[in-house]
Amino acid sequence: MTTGVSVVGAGMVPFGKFPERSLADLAWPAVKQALNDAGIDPRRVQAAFCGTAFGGMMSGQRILGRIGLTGIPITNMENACSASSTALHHAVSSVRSGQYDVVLVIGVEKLTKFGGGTLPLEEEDWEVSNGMVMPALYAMRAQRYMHEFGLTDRQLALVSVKNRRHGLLNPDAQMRKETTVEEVLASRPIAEPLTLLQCCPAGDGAAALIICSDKVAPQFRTDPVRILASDLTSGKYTPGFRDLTTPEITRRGAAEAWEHAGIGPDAVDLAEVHDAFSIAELIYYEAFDFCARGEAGAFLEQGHSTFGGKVVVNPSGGLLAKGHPIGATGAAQAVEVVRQLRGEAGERQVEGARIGLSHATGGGIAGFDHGACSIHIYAR
Amino acid sequence: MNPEMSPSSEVRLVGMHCTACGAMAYPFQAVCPICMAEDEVAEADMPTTGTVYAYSTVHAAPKKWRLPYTIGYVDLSNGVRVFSHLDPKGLGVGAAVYASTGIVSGEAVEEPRTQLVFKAVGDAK
Repeated sequence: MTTGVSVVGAGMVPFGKFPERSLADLAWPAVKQALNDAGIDPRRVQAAFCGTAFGGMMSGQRILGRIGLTGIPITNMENACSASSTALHHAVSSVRSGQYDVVLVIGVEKLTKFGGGTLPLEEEDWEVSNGMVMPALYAMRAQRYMHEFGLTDRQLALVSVKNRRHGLLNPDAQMRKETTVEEVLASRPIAEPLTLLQCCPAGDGAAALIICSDKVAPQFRTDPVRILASDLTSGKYTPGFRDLTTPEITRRGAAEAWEHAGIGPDAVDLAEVHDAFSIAELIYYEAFDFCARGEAGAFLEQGHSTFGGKVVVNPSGGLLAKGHPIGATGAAQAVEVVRQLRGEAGERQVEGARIGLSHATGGGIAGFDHGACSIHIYAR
Repeated sequence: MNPEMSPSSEVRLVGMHCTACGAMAYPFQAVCPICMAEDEVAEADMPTTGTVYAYSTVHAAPKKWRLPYTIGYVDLSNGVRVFSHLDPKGLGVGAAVYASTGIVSGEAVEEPRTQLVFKAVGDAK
């Protein structure tokens, strides 16, 4: 027997650089905000799932120990950049199966502890030990996509311009300053053809969600956001040729998510997708069938992925502008979708939003398109 | 261009061949990543020429690397893809390249090691 699952509480702290704050002190305010948002007695929370990639041992216990929300099962989950979307998936599964009625999801990361530079990847990995860094992997996607489909530098830069414009309207975003195509292209090269402003900033942040069964949801809020699909998959390892211009794992996950939700891409009003680098967002337009193969550049240029377009992609500013404290990202994407579907998104409200989607992938290892991918579809 | 880089005809690419399922991979590993076989897995020489699938010149990386450096994927005729450093000279998507060696790690490494670097065929001499 399964039950419907909803989000009744959402909270996050503004993303930014907070080197003086501990991981626990970054995250507990997001948890309290989510609890208050749900109007729930903290004692009703039966279990917690905490996603983080670099938080260290017992991150969830360290956070919840600050506010006395302990003595319940707390599970810490690492899945690189999809850590907290993975936590959300398992939280949803545990409620859907009837194990719990009310669970808490936390996403948290403190990247300033590394002092800047590229994300520290696992040196045991063959490619990483030989010089692979995340910007280079995406740079190769960009180069190959430009080679095959004629995408231009300007179109690529336009992703950053659009998402910075969206981020300007989001008080929780790390980068709240508009930019231009010229400025993006003139910023320093990181991994050619990607420049600095085409890479997500390093930062700190946390987000939290209260997930519950449909049975108890009306006890907390009259406007629960229903979860129509919760998909998690891993990449398929291959030692041979892979097409870097289409994300195998996201395409497969999207097909599963559409099937579970019983809707297709045309129904989606807004999508928070994993734009860790400019090229990624374009590739995901196609993976979610928002546009046809090879047409992402034109789709963006014609305004189909911003306010007033066919689907507003990354209204929050996305990873490029909102920021990407990696373990916090999946939960923060869900927070944005919930706020949009409730009509609480202020200046960046997607008018009449009814269906939202969130998508987080985690990578940085050899032989996979990405290591993990989690997709959620929500409805008001 | 790094002066340490010099063409070499003695570079071998030792990969894996699984006689149980036919899979090949580079570098060698002792268990087949496709069918889990161990006893049927053997070292095998890979072709030392291939074509560039994609590459990037990197300007931000951990300290051990000498910046900038170029890395990418080289597709071999036997269907195996090799991740490697590349010499940027004469490089392009689809360029024919051959396996050579060079030193690409930086001053932070006490004993910089010679490692695999692919070079464009047109720049062999």
